[in-house]
Amino acid sequence: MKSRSRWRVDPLLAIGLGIVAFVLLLGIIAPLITSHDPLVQNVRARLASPSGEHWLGTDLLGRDVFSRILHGARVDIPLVLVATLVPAVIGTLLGTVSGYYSRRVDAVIMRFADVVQAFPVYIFLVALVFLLGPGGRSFVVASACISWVGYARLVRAEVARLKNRDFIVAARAAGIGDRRVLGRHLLPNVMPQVYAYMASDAVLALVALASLSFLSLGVQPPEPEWGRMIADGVDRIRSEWWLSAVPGLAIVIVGIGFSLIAFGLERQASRR
Amino acid sequence: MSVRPVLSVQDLRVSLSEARRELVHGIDFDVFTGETVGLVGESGSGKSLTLRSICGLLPDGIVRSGGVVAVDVDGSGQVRDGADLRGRGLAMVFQEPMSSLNPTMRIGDLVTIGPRTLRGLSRKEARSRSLELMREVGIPDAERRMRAWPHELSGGLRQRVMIAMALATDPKILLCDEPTTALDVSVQDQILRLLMQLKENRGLSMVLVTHDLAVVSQVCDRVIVMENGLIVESGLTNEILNSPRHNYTRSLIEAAQ
Amino acid sequence: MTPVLAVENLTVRYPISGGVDLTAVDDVDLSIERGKILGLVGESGCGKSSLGRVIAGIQRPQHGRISIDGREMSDRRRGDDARLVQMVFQDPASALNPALTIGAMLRELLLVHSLVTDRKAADRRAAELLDSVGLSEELLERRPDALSGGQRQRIGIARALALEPRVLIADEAVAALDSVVKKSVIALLSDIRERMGLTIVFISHDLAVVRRLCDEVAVMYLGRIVERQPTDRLFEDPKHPYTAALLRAQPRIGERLDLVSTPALIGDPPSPIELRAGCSFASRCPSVVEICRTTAPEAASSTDGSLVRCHFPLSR
Repeated sequence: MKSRSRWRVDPLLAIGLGIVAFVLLLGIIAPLITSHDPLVQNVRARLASPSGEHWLGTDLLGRDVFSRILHGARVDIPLVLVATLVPAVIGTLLGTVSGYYSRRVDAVIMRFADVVQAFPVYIFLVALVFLLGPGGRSFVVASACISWVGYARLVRAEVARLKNRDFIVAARAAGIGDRRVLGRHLLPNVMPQVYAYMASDAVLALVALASLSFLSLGVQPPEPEWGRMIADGVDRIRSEWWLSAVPGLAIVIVGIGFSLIAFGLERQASRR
Repeated sequence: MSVRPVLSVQDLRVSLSEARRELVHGIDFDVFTGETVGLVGESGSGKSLTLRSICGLLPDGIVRSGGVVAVDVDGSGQVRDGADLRGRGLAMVFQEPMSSLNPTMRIGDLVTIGPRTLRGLSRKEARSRSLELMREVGIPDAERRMRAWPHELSGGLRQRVMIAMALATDPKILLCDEPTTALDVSVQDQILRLLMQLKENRGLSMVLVTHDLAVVSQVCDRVIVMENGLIVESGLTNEILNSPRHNYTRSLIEAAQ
Repeated sequence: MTPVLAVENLTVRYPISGGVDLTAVDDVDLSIERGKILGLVGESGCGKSSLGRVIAGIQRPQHGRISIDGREMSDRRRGDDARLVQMVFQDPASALNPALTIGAMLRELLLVHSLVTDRKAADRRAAELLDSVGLSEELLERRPDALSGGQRQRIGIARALALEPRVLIADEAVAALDSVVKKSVIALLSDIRERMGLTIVFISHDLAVVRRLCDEVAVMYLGRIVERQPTDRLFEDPKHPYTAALLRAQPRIGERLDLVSTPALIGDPPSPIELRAGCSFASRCPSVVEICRTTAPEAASSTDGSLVRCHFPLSR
């Protein structure tokens, strides 16, 4: 029966989800894995090499690196998820309105989009975060202000395309109200592409967050954050190279996870 | 009519290359000089694939997996594979004039794109040849229309342009894939007449793929009925339509009444 | 008897770039009696689809009135009015929402219009609807991509019937189907008309199908109805030169194309953008006379509802 194939999950999607979920899980159960507090400093034991006591050694302030890596997952991943979700919701809503309703509404929204896109992304991001004051929350707000545009354009194009398809026309002809048509009929056909976009956007958000934190504009110390940790270890890269390399690797792994999710979602959507 | 066929198809097999699934299961038929042969069937019968494999124009992922397509263009007895003679004796007319014409080229350039590429015609020669061909296929106001873009023309005119393109390579055999299916009935009438007239004037042989038995009745000398990749019946048009022997043919005739 | 559908002075225009308008439907009057199947035929650009969509309430006319059972319909049909005219679409592939199961789609329609009281009743009614179009209720769990073209088209009909309409507009409903499936869907439409007394407007470019199914036929050319007759009369004794040409152009089994005879119609239809004075068919009419170019003919109608719009209708 053909309907069954719909439920078979793409293997890449499964792997990607597995990676991200696994890392997040590690972060959540971090206190169970390591007894070291990521914030506790022990200057006498600073820059220790990996050992039985400290699996990945200690950083410049004597904090256990392994513990900080794990706790970093609790900081980075949720922030990335939120920073992806908020613009997705805003952009989808605006894109839907833009694609479905009158030309004027569409024109206004798209002009806003043009203005936002006129700025180079990172400069805009840095400027906004600077204005709002550095920190995770500012990062989310800044992402929301900038990233919604991609979603809006994508959704707008899809909605405009599907708007005149017979099955939508039929729903309206059957007297179903606009809001229901949008929610129950149009959007379910648009969402698969939005989800795929969200997954790739998450990779970008992760890198942006790490970069901001690297520049001291993101998550503020002493919170463990992978980008920040890379910055902290940069001066020591010749001797205690793992201080930067491990958080870098963590970012790469999670980035790959999100990318696989994106790839898997796209493959799944195109197979229908 | 010469005794030797101008096109001879033997044990033709067409398959999906990846899935190794056969779509056309070894069919045989001949076309003689000056004949119009109709290839009839419903969607999925394999008629279109058969036509395309004759001149080597199969879509991605589909290949000719067996059989011989022997074409004797000049009556010399020397045969070559159909795919080699595409544009050099075999020409094709497609169904959908809207998507088959390059929207970024003007009509005048489109018509002679074949000979210009294959025989290196000069611009001047190409231009006068285009004009000649456009007039031959009955495009009114041809001089002006040469500078037109495909989207500016009606479906009927676009189909005439496609026929002109096919004629530009001086073919001996015209392969037509549902050439009038997408057209209004009055335009279909005009185009069928045009094809028949051209056939007579130029001494062409034609293979016409269609699902419409009435069209077959109007223009084809012989008809071949296909179902699921096999030939179920073939013979003279009148005979087949008046006394069909196979059930499938019968059901097609009944459904068209 | 009040006709079930009455259209008066209907005009549909589409703006095209440059301030020019395309007139798709030009001041059309039409009425149909209950239980009849009216074929609406014509070539591309004649306006039959636009006319159908306006009657179905999907599109808004520039002006004109549409009345169902004598009651005038407003442009935006609300509530029960939205159910009165339903449409069956041409392309089985795009006419059904790929994200919904058949059951979910039908249930929603029934519940939104309060045609049933709860979900269980909706499921039962959905099964009934599928049954009435000759499909088994196990299709309720499937999605459109798991069904054949013929099945999807039948479901399109079931969807239209779910709202218990007075008039069904079939817009090229069988054009995309194979001939054997086509026949069965036509039989289904005929059967529905018998069983439910439904009135159907059957829009089609395929004259052979129209001849089999319809009681009456109206021929459109450039936005106007140029002839309307009971089916047999139209095919055997057409009164308008365009109808005659259309019938002549139709290929028939058993007839060979005669190159000596002239084509049924020469050239392409004139542009619907600049409508000229005079008869819309004047530029291609084989029997055109001077008055045809200057004065548009009125529709001469008879008591049985048939009409011809020509200064010199053909007579046998």
